[in-house]
Amino acid sequence: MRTMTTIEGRIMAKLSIAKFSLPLLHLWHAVLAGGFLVAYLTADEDTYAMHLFAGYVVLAAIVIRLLVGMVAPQGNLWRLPRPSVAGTLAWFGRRRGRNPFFAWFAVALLGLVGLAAASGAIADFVTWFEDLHEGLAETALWVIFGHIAFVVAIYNGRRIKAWLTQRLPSGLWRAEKEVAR
Amino acid sequence: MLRKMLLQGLAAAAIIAGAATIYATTVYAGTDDNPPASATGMSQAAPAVKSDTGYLQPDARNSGKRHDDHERSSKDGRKKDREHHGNRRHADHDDD
Repeated sequence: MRTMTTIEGRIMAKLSIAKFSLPLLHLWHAVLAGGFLVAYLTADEDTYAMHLFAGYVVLAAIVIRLLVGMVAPQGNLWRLPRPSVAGTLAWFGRRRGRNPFFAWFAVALLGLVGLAAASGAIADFVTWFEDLHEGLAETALWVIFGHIAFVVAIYNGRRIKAWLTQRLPSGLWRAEKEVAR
Repeated sequence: MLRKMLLQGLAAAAIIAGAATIYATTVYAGTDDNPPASATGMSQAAPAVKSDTGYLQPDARNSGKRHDDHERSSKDGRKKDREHHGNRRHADHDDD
């Protein structure tokens, strides 16, 4: 009897996605981010058609991500993130491995942006959903800012810290060096 | 890597915005009504706006009932507006 894992593995193998996982993930991320940006900037009555188009692009991107994430094999980049509180606390203890907040932000953003897009699609037919849609979109925007700040801090944190430290007054610079020792 | 991802996102936004513009142009070109930026379209849509604001009109306040010609719910009005005007919503007009 074929197991789901075998079927998933065959699907992924046939699609040869594993080889292009990262570039495709970057492409997907670019489409999602670009679509959200256009949708947010065109959230006006005069540009409603553009907002509608961009919103459905975002919704399609989220749906594709969820579908592929459910069939992706374990260890694949496309696999849906499953952060846990216990794993996060354990990470703080050992500070090794991938930062769990990557996964937390991914879950938060997939959820919020997905709900914002879905509520927007519903608001097209059910008018009173517009307020909910607007609220979800605004909340998602702030979470996106947090996501950007987090990623910048993780990847460029040391460089930013060195840049800031060199520009601090000399007294503070000496104090920083002593703390580092 | 972050700079590359930022540029990819902006490029995607530009492509999506271009596609959205083409879609919007097609939608408005396919209808008989004026595009939303047109000033003349506002007066034509005024009778429809009357019923769509959700606010009570002076006539409705007196009679407690909407006129048959404009007897439709605000939701229907907004939906019909979206079908014909691309979901334009205009400022309230005072009755003359």
